[in-house]
Amino acid sequence: MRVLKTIFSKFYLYVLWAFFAFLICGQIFSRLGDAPAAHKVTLYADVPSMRDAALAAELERELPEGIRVVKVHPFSYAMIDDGDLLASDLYIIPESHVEQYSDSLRPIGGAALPEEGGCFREGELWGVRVWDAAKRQGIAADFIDYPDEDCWLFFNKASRHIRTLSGTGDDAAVEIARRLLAMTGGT
Amino acid sequence: MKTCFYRAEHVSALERKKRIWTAVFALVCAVTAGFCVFFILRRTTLNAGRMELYATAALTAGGWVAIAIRTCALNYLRALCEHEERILSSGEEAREVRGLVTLDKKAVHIFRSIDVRGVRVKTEDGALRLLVNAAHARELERAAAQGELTLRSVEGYVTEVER
Repeated sequence: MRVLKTIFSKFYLYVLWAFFAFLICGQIFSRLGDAPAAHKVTLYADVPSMRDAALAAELERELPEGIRVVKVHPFSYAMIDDGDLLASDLYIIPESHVEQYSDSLRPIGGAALPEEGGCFREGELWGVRVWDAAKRQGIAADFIDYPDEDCWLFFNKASRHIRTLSGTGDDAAVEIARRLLAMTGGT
Repeated sequence: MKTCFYRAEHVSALERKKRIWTAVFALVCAVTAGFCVFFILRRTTLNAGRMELYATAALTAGGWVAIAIRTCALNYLRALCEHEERILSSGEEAREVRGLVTLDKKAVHIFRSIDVRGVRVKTEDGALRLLVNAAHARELERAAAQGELTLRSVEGYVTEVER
């Protein structure tokens, strides 16, 4: 009886502890799964849904030098704060949304990436096709639920991991992009 | 027949209980921390969400158990030890009174101390109010049901009962 009374009288402690535990674990696991931008390659995909953790784990099988983590997120992940979205290295964007994000993108002609079906602007290759809506074929289709339109892989012009294109930093994003493009998937 | 509620051996037994509960508390904290570290080390990109859930659940449950031990056992044992040591080492002369004894129905918790019940002793000269450690209240009630009692008290707390 005394024990029950004591527990009920200190009920606020139990509630506070649960909140504290949730906060602490969230912080720890968030930091464990993240890295500074210099050691991380991020891919955001504007698609209905995706198995982002599984795709990230697949891309992390062989990490480029200096890279500790590959982050993969759907665009909906950045609903509240688009800072992370704008700082991403790679984007998968459907045809209808390309213009909306074009200010963040850049031509990728020098990266020796497949040009067939690519997204061209003023004669330059800007995006590599990753999903052919007509054939219902594309890359990493086991991980990405593509919309009913063509999708392309683009590079963020501000990425620090595109030395082949920008001349500075490292080429980690280009390497990850090549690995992603090698992940063919069916319908 | 005389019953003494405050004895040095009892304080030793309480101290021993306190040591055991302290060890249990430390063990619970260590096991909880161990589980959290285990889940952190087992974390991969694929299972990160699941490991975080397990770690949060372990930390929450372990913390609750630790809080319960701390508040229900350790704090109370400490208060009980302090109270008994204070009464045993009190320089005050034990006050003796004989009469019919009745106890308040409900125990009252003294802040940062023990639970007590009020005792009313009806003597020829009037009534006297004392307190008894709630742990001894039942024994006192049983004795009081049999008639007049002689109570000895120190600092207002019943320390001995004699029929």
